[in-house]
Amino acid sequence: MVYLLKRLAFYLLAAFVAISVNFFLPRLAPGDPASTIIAAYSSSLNATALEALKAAYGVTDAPLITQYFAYLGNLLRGDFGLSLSQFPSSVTSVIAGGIWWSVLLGLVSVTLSFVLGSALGALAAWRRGGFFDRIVPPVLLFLSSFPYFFLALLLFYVLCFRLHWFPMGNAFSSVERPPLTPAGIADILHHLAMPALTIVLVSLGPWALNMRNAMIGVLSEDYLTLAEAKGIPPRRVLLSHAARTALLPNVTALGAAIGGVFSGQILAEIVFTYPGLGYLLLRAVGSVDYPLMQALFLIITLSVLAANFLVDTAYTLLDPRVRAGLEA
Amino acid sequence: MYTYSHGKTLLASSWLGFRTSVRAAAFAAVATTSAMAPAFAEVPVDQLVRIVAENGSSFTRVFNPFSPTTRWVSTRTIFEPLMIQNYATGKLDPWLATGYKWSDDALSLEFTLRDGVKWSDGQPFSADDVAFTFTMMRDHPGLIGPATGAFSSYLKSVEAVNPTTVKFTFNSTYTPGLFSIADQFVVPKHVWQGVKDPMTFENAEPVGTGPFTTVDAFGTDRYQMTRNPNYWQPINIEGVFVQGFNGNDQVSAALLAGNIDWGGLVPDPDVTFVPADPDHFGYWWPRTSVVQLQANTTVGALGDTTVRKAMSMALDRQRMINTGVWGKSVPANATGLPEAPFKEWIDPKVVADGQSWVTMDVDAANTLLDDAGYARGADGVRAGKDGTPLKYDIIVPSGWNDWVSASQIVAENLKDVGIDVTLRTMTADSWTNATFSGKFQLSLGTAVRTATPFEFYRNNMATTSVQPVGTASPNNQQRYGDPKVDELLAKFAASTSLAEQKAVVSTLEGMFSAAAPIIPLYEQPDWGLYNTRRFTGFPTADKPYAPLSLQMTNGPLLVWPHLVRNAN
Repeated sequence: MVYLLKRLAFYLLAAFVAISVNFFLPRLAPGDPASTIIAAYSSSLNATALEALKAAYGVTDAPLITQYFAYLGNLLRGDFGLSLSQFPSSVTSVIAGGIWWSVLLGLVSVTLSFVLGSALGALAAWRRGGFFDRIVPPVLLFLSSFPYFFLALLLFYVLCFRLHWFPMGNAFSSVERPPLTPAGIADILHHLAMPALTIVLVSLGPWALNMRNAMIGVLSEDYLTLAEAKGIPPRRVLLSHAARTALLPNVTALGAAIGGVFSGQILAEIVFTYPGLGYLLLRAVGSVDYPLMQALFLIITLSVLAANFLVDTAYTLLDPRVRAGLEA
Repeated sequence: MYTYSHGKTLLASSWLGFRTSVRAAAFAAVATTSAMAPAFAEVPVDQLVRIVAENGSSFTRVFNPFSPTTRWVSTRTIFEPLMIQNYATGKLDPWLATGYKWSDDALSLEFTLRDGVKWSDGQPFSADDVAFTFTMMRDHPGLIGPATGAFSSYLKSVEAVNPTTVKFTFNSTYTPGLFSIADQFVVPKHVWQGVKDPMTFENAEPVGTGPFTTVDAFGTDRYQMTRNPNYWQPINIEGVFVQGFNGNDQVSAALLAGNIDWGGLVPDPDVTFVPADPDHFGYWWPRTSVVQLQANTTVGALGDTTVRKAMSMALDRQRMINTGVWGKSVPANATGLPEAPFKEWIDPKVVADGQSWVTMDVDAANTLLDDAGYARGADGVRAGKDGTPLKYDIIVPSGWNDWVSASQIVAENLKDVGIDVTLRTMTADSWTNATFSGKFQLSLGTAVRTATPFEFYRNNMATTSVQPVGTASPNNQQRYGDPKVDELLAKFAASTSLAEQKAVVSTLEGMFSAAAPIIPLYEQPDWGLYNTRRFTGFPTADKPYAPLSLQMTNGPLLVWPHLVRNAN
């Protein structure tokens, strides 16, 4: 318990630092959102209009420190301001459109790669040197070293464009979200299949390889020999004794993987025209949309911290040493 | 992802009108939708014109036409102007107004409004709405539209004389103001007068005079607009379907699958697009602006007309056209003006006399520089009189492929005349900042599309358009100003006689050709493509009744009444 409380305090401090970096980092880059937006507009603008526009966009010349405290205050009230690249929409409404699709795609693809990768790695280690072990890890590594964009575009061309097995884009068929009936859910899954599948394909390798290596270490431990000697069925030895211990490094990696969800999805969103937040982040950076950038980075930071906290918690369940207060 | 420059119009980082996009998934999806989701009241997408006009997949429901980042339809299907400058015909087409009249002293301008026009909610449209729109823009200078800034420069007042007559009074004679006023979209007074802050008003349920004002369905990456029940002219189609894309390959795939009816650019269409269905797929790239090489005249030798002209003579314009726009353009002439929209304004004598400085002749360019005293150093690079070597950076946004390739050619060509140019690509944002504030050496640019050449010469040669280095301005990035140009422009603005204005422009053209404030390269095509499998009536080279480009504000309004859905 003390362990968890200590971790919690650490995460709160980390969140505060991240929120501050969030504010200062985008502003260190050169750029002026109002000019950028005006550059995109052909009307002849004079200085008065430019100033009025800057005022409306909240682009002020106030000292950074003043802006920083205003930002902290707004954050506490849950006010992220207005998006500059989709003015005058609120940042919240811009993000609301894509966040659930990002979460869906992220959870499905990370969970699938974690579960599948760990299982394949464990199996490969269990039959070390066997046919499965000689084929599966190299194939997975080959897929991971493949540039994602190329693989995804190839599959898009063959399965979506040529064969029409999967839709060429979007998260569902209708313009507005279908109701969550069996038919609606099936439609959503049909659209999710290609982006999720391609992400899983290229990310399986490390999960499987890490698991296999950890398993091999664990399998040579005395307690497994003992377990086998006691006559425990091999399946149980594999799952409850070997895999459970070997899973620990992968659980740690899971925390980091959650953080990469949005950025990792950017290419999938481009190739399969999927309405997530990764591409939105790319555009926010490109158009110097500070408020939107801040909110997106905040979501990413908080989700990494939350994921790592969950991982720490999971450790107490998986690793008895942590529960006993020893360092894992 | 790669993007294509689109001049200054609209989202500059767009290739095919990458702001315009239509629906990729329709092929596979229409079948599924109709089979499995009959519960929706959405108008079937096959009834709608599918358009590729917007980038991205996080759409929000913003139909405020005064926001530069509003939804594409705001100024293309919802709100309409008094008259539309038709860049395909060069005419000012009547729209909500049937005509205009200047007073004899050219200090007031009256528009006669069309009878019987109604807003989409059934209220009558009247001169009050026009006066209200302009007054609101005066009170909120940050509202962006064609007439932004009119009140702070030439407009004194606007009044509704009677329900069908609106009168604009000027501070001083400024006849080019006609086009800014006529082009301004009008919003309904009865809706907007209750809006507290028109700048941050989202206008999620728009009321307009345009053909498609009903938001039939709105999703995060697609939306469809259907008919205004009270539209003032006959219309044959149900509405439009706008889909956002995140990548260019996906747009190409959707185009080839026939899922888009009207779009912007597809690279090398003769090879990649038209052959897929020559009976239905087509494109039309008229040219209404010029790509120009901008040399910052505040930077050493770049301020010398001889150097700029020698640079111009070193350039292989045809090669830029072949690599950048697949051969679909022509080299620019010595007036700096595009031929088609300004053919009545361009003085053939200026073009003929100036032809030599816009034609490639490396030997003559070298002679020019030798004679002017820019001697070559040991490394072959010339130096100015003060010994500074002629070494410059040319900056362009990364990913604007046509401009990047043109800049590479500029750098290569200028080596032949002893000028050392390095290409630097940067984000569109940094590039905008550098060019606006004058903190650059060489860059590419285009002119704003306008009804007359007045703005072109004002924005490139008038002292009034020159800002000091460090102060941001979209115009006159090269910082060249000549007081004589100011006088000529004042004469133009004070005149209502076309003949007199043409004489002024002819003089300006001659001054441009003499001074070379910018180096014109080639004419920029306006990307536009169509698919006639489901809808016909798009403007083409044979029927150039309107621009095909989706990027031009107001342009698509001219097209909607001509579109017809095929019987099958």
